Amino acid sequence: MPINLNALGAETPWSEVVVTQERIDALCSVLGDYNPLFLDAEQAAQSENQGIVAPPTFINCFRDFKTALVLSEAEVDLPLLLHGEQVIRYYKPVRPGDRVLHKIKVIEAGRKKSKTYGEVSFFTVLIKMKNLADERLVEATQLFFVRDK
Amino acid sequence: MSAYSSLEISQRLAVPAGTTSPVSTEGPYFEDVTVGMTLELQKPAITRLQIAKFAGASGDFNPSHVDEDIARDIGGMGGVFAHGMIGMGFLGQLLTDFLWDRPLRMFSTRAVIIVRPGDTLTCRAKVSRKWVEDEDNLVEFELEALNQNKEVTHTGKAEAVLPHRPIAIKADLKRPYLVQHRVIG
Repeated sequence: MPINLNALGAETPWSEVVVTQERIDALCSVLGDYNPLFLDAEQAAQSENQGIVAPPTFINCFRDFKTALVLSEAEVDLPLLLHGEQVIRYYKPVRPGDRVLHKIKVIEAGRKKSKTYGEVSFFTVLIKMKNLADERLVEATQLFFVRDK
Repeated sequence: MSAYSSLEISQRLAVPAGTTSPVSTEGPYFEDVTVGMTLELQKPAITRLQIAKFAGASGDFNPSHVDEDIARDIGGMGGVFAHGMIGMGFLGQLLTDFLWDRPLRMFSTRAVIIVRPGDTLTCRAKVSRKWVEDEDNLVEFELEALNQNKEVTHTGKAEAVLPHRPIAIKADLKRPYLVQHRVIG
């Protein structure tokens, strides 16, 4: 079933989240990435980062209201959803203890031909993350395809 | 620091025996990296437990990844498959193992084919470009992940900012007239 293209421009409210070591640990654990720069305060303090920073794909762990956006606005049938591309741009490091704000917006929606799946719907979301001083931390775009059946 | 954060890594995480962590004291310098240089990281086979843990860590509980019946019967994909972001995370690990504390400016991936439980990914990076932009020395990496059948599952690019070592006149270049010039000048 095609998605609702009226989802273009829909966005979540800003959501405030505290970055915790537990969340960083959870991502490192699943990836099997035990880099001390993400996990060991003592060793990370001696690096240029001057403390623990989050791994590069940590922004994927911030998705408050994203399900509502995808299900209610784009009317996506989740089992038909496929992830296409993701671009992450980094402005400032994200650290445990940081209070961050994030929001997600549908910036592109339409129909296109896929080599593998024929005619499909697609949509792109922009995820923004900033600190309470309104400084950009990380931004990402994610492109998704939704098969008709 | 919270009580949790003050715990040792071994108290917080069940790090598998034999796991080696990258050991470094500083990241690479711009002049150490050459175009054509390659990096590689071999990851263990992806497990269903790992996919479930990623769903928990990311909050992405799309049934295509965690519910075999829905993935097979409604999704029509022949069963569950891994989040594309797991492969991206592996490629991120390849980059940060090498870059250490040097910052990434951009990191992108494209999911080419799906990755199933049991697939073993090999992540590769190749330095494709070096350039200077304003104050930043930039290095571009072309990325790919391949499964055990040598099929490309992910492609991507990344840009990192690397410092140059501080300049200094090498000892064998400190010729008398240079010294004299500096003194007189």
